[in-house]
Amino acid sequence: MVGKLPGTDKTWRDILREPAWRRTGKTPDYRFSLANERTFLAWIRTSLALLAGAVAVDQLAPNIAPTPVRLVLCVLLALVGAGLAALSYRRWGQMEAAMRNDQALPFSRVMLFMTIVVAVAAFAFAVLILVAR
Amino acid sequence: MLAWRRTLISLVVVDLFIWRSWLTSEPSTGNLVAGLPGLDYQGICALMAAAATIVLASVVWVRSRQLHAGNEAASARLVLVSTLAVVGLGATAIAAIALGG
Repeated sequence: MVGKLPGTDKTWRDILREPAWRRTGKTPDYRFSLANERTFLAWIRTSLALLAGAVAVDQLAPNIAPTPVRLVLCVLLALVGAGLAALSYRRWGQMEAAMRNDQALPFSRVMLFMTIVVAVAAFAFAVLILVAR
Repeated sequence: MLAWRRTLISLVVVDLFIWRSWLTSEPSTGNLVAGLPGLDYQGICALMAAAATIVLASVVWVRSRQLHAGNEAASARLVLVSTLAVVGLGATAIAAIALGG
């Protein structure tokens, strides 16, 4: 028997069931669905790259900064990576739902957010590398 | 299909760093489970990373078979399970970083 999740009336079975929007509208052209799937996977790989970067800095560059600073930077980077994975599923669902209902594709600020995060992280690590020398 | 396999390779890269973190960590004085040497908190992180790899590898296998058979879109369940595997790996990476420091 599948138990209810704490604080909700939903069970794991409800969450894993095909969502309601999947039963609305018409099935989009498979080329668009496959393109949406590849975009989802590209975001997932970006998320994995952030996770790999976070663990790699922690493992391979222990002297890049004092331990608390390094820990905070690496945990932040890993948090953004995990959050991006969740966001990419949400984005995939929104795109799929829009295509099924012949609506315009929704605007997303994820790209702007990720550009800023990657630029700030690159700048921060560049400064740390220069200071550590 | 290649996109799914590339994603699996990216996940294995994260895995390798987490496993390295476990293998290079100081051996702890006590094991969480008696009779299983090496199963400290870092060992649990390494196990979680291995579990995420197995889940994503299974998803890749299922999706590859689907794509060999036809061109139907991925089911939401498949996409959700792969997302949960990566989010779980993210939580494991955070734990490995926090425990390794």
